[in-house]
Amino acid sequence: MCPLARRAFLGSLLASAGATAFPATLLAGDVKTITDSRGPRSFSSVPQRVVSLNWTLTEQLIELGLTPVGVADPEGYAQWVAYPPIPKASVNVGTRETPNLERILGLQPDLLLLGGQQGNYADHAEAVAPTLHFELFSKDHDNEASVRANFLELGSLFDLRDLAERKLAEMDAELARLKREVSAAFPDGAPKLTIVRFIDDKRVVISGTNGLPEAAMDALGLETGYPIENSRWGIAFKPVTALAEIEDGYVMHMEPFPKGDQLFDTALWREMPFVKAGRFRTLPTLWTYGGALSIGRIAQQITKALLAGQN
Amino acid sequence: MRPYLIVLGLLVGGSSLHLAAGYPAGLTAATLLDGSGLPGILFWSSELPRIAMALLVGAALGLAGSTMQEITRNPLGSPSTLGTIAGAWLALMVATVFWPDFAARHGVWICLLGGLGVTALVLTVSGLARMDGIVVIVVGMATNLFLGGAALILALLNGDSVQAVFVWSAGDLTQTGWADARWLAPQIAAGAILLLALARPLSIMRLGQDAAKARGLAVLPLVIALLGLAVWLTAASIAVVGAIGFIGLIAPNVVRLLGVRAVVPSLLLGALVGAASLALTDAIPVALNDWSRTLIPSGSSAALIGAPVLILVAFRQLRPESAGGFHMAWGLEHCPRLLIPTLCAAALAALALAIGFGASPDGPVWIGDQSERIRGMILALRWPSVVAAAGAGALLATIGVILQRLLRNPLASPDVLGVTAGATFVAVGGVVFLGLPAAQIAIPSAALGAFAVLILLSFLWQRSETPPAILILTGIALAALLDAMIQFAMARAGEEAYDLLAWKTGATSLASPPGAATLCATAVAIFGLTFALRRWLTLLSLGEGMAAARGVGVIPARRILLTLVAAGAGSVVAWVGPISFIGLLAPHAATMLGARRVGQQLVAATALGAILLVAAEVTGRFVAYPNQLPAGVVAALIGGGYLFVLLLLSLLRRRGL
Repeated sequence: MCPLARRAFLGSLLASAGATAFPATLLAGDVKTITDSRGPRSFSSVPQRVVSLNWTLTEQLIELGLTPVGVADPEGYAQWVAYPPIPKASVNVGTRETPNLERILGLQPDLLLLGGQQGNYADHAEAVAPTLHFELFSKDHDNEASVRANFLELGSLFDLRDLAERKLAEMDAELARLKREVSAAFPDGAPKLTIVRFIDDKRVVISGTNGLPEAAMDALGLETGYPIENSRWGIAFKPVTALAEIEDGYVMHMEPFPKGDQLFDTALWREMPFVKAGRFRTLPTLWTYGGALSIGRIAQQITKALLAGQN
Repeated sequence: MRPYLIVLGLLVGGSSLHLAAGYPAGLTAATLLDGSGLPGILFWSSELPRIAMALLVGAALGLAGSTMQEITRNPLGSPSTLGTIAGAWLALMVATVFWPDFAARHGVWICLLGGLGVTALVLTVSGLARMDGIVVIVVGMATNLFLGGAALILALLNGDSVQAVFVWSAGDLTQTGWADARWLAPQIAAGAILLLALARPLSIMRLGQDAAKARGLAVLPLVIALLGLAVWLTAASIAVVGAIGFIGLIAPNVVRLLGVRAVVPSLLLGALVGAASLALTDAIPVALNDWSRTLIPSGSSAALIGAPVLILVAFRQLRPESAGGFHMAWGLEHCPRLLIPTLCAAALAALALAIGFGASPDGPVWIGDQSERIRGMILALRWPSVVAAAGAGALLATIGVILQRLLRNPLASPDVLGVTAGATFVAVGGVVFLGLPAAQIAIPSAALGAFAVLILLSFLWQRSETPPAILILTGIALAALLDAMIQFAMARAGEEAYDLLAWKTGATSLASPPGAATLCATAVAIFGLTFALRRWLTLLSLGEGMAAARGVGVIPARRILLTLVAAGAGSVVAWVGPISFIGLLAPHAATMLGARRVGQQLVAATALGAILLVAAEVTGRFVAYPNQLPAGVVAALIGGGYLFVLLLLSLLRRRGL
């Protein structure tokens, strides 16, 4: 029996046995096993006071309609992740690199959520509250599958599995609809696409294999125009001249890019194949290391940019 | 004529190599000539301006370095060693954080102001009369560390894209057109012409400042004008391409190797050699662009080539006396009777206070006032961070005493000698190149790296009759070389380097209980062994001959002591990351307080080291609450500030103020 079916089975069995006798959270059937990067772990009740030290996990929590009692670096989140916004009630608990464990302790959390780079202090953080550490992004696994699985796992943990599944299903339906729009607009086959973020007018980060932009592009049936060796975050940091290697398809850059004029006015830029072909587009601020639902947001913006004045 | 021909050869060679490395694929003779098509544009609008920028920036830095060396009469003077680059860079960063629009428009003026201010400060503090010694270089390095710590805090607190900051701070010459070169060329030409026109009287200054004054030369105005121009050349380059170091240090030394002595020709050649060196070293990142997933900063490769040159220079040119004679340690002559007990009590009190007081939104809170429910949990969190800080501080201080005694120089410390950088490099390299998990290999690889550097240093020491001062310079160059290699490794790693960056700030606040306990036990063990061997240290610090006469086997004794140093430095890097300054500072402060005998100095310095790093850890809790600043970064700030105040005081004392 697969875990999902077994859980449903046990749940229904116990619910029929004595649902009226116990408050829901105390039911033995509600003991949940969550597997983090260090192994399985049981929760006998739904965590109520959660502190998230990782932006991706913060995003996933907010998408589930939860308000974490504490989050790391909310100002940075507002600047880089932007959507969905962190609820005002969430307290700043310091930087992501060295969060303030004592302040977290003062919030009396019953769960700490840690991501990627924070694994080195996960064991130590257990002194504050039960801690889950998720290795969301890695070159050894499919990052899209990883953030989706994590969204469902968090759904189960907070008794919101149905909501999580529904939100993913909605997103998949939306992705399918967007894909049809793209294929209708490009009957001869979808073009290639490269998504970049400019650091300044001379340096650029190119999104590549195993990143969330690639997941969005897969869902839309778009292929990458700049193949990059697989890595944890799926990006490459290059001089802008590297973009000259992109032979066909569209190139889209993500805002903000304050020094844009200094690059777009150069002869070199005008000679870039995708600029000459009128296949350069601007995307709004998008967080490319985000949660499961950010794939849908990225895909929406790509489609919008692709269909605006296509040629 | 011969030097000019050699330099011309270097210029042509460097530029051709750069051209060969950056020649766009698919560029034929026909498209090259009419400049159309993508390969043509890449050649004319990216590769050629990049060579032009390398030549311009190289010339500016070479000339600035030559001028600074001419003024200070110091073969180690340069925009990087006198704090110019660090000052300009920090000023630009502060401005970018607080007034982004202003910084974007007036970057060069901000760089000029920061560079001028810091250079002037470094030179004044070390004393205009002894700019030729190593003091000024120490002050410059201390300032660099101090400003670097401040810049790192700014970056950490402002959520900058760390990678971008890191590439910019290492300097990158990528070009997308001629705009930068067109802007920079007149600035540098004007500065250079003015500088060369004013430089002639410098030849009189070579006779000494008094002689120059006697001949009616207004020394101070001339020095100020020339330094101002040198800083201008540096600032203009930095504002456009980022902080490229080392060129200003290599160029004048190469000119000296060529046997050029006259002032104006050597300045001119300095500019040309600078141009050639940057063109040569920048060919490396251009050639490696495809291999690397991440852009390699031009400044890293300049350091990679520059550091070995510096080592060569240190061995060939620096007379022992010009590097020695550094005695910063004024202060009490004798150890006050109560000093050692007081310091030990203070260390224990610092531990207790650090464990007792925590930060809260309403300011400091005493542990006794916390509710009973969380008191135990707070203690469980706090003791490992405090004990790790105390252990790391004590350990660094102990090995600092060993190195300073062994090398008979108050500058010797694990970070200055490159031991820390060696440990960091092997740990980073293991993660990046061999794909090993950081958590598991950190400890053995850090120890391995520290050992490798110390073995290299002691090998150099054994072979020739190398004076300790030159060994220290070698260590400084080695540290710079390893830093450049760490940057190369991190560039290769790309995003995975973020993990390593967090670790590189020396955060004790997240130390685990087993880590803290191990570190503390190591500190106790190494302190105990060193204390037991203090007779060796006493005799060796008096001179090898003296030690041998008293029956100490100099070479084995050195080996054993250096092994202790490697084990100590490796443990600190492995458990809490590279922490600078404590190893330099604590032994020195102990001497100043009167702990002049080896045994006294060991105990006092170890206590002071623990106090200092614990203080850094506690300070880090409060200043940016709720953010916790890494103790390593705070220690660099406290340490740099301390050294600075100390030097200022000693300057005032010298002047009899």
